[in-house]
Amino acid sequence: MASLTETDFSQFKLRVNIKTSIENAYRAWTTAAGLKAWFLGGLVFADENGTQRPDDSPAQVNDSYTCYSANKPGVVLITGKVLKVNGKDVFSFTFSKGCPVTITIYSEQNETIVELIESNLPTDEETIKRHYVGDSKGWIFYLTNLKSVLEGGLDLRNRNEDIKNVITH
Amino acid sequence: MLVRPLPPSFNFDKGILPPVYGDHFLFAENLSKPYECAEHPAGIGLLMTGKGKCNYYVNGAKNQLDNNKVFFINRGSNLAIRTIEGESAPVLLFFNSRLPDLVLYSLEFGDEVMLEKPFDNLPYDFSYLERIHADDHLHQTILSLIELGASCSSFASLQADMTIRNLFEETLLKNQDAYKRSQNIQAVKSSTRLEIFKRVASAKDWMEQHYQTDISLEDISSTAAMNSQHFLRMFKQVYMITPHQYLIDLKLKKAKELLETTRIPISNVCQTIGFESVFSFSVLFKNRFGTAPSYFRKGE
Repeated sequence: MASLTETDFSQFKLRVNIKTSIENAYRAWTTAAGLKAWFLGGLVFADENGTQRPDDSPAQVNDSYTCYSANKPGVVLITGKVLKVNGKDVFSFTFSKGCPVTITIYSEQNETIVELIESNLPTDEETIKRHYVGDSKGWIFYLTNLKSVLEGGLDLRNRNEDIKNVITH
Repeated sequence: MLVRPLPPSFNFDKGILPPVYGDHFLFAENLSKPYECAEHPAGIGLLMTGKGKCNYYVNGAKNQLDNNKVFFINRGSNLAIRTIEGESAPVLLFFNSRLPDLVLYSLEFGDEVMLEKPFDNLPYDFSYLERIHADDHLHQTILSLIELGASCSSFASLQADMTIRNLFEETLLKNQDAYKRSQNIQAVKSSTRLEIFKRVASAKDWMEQHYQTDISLEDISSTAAMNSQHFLRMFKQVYMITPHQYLIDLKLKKAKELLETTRIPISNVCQTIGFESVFSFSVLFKNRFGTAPSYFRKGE
């Protein structure tokens, strides 16, 4: 039996198994076109000179990204920076509060595992409530949507602007 | 963003300095009995009411807020609160004390530079032109934050933070514009310029609420508590246009919107925006947009 340990609120790890190839999963994370299909909304990667990358072109280290609301295309939801790419199975970027999120993709039991680690979270009580809990809840839905889109093509995101306060939005 | 009920006092440490907010704080509560908060130095933020009327006293001056009105308050201004009805819902959004500098820095240098360079050493101070804004969009956006604070939406706190950031950026740009316009006023003292600007701007807001009714220069100037001829001169100095021209422009823009988005007959559009004559409406519309209302609707 695993021993009980104190929860480390400075980071969390989530894994999802997907019946797809590592290449497909990597593309879904590292290209604007891939991310638009399942993540928050519209997304743009730009190189260090601010030049926008084509939608199907993979992001590179030091690229910046801007993510727009799906229902309000002009509204920026978050901006960040690409910290690491290796061209095959690792992708890391800054997310809320500038905390790094690292995606690692590998095989397990003939399926592809996408593993997400959000780290360096401040551990004061308010940050734990908002970011440890809030971000992990957000990622759980979006990782589920990634699985759904890559396995069956069904996009679970809410497109009805009049429906609010749902996990799919 | 953190959502909290109204505290007995916002001066948490009973200090002489305004509180430093390490995050955005939204204080909101539905009240069924009067609420009072003694004068204290405030953080930078927005004050409004979700229901009923609420009196916010800023540096001793009374600002009665209701409906769509929002008051911008500077860090360091003295704030006292008094609700005047049994049923009310004061809403106070205080920004993370460092946000003003972050936004200003970002607008000036772009997000890229912000990502590269830390901003810890920037001072957290900023000055708004404190005044009441009649702004439905701003009012609704702040109300939506209350919902978002209790929402189970994915990344709700991220959405709230970005909404506040966008809201602040918009208000900052408006403030820069307001400051530039206030400098057009020919007055020796800057405090006089500011006071005149506040009055003229509030009259402009009032016109935007009442453009469809039959309003005279005297009506408008009385909302600014100014003599009509003085008001006319000041309005022109601030907005480079007379109140009458501005009113006509408001009506024509609304007419254009109605023609674009509804099938209301042109004569009814004309009535809705407060024109008595379809002919004069058509002439003014053509002068403004280069085509008569009927052709505009047909897309010709």
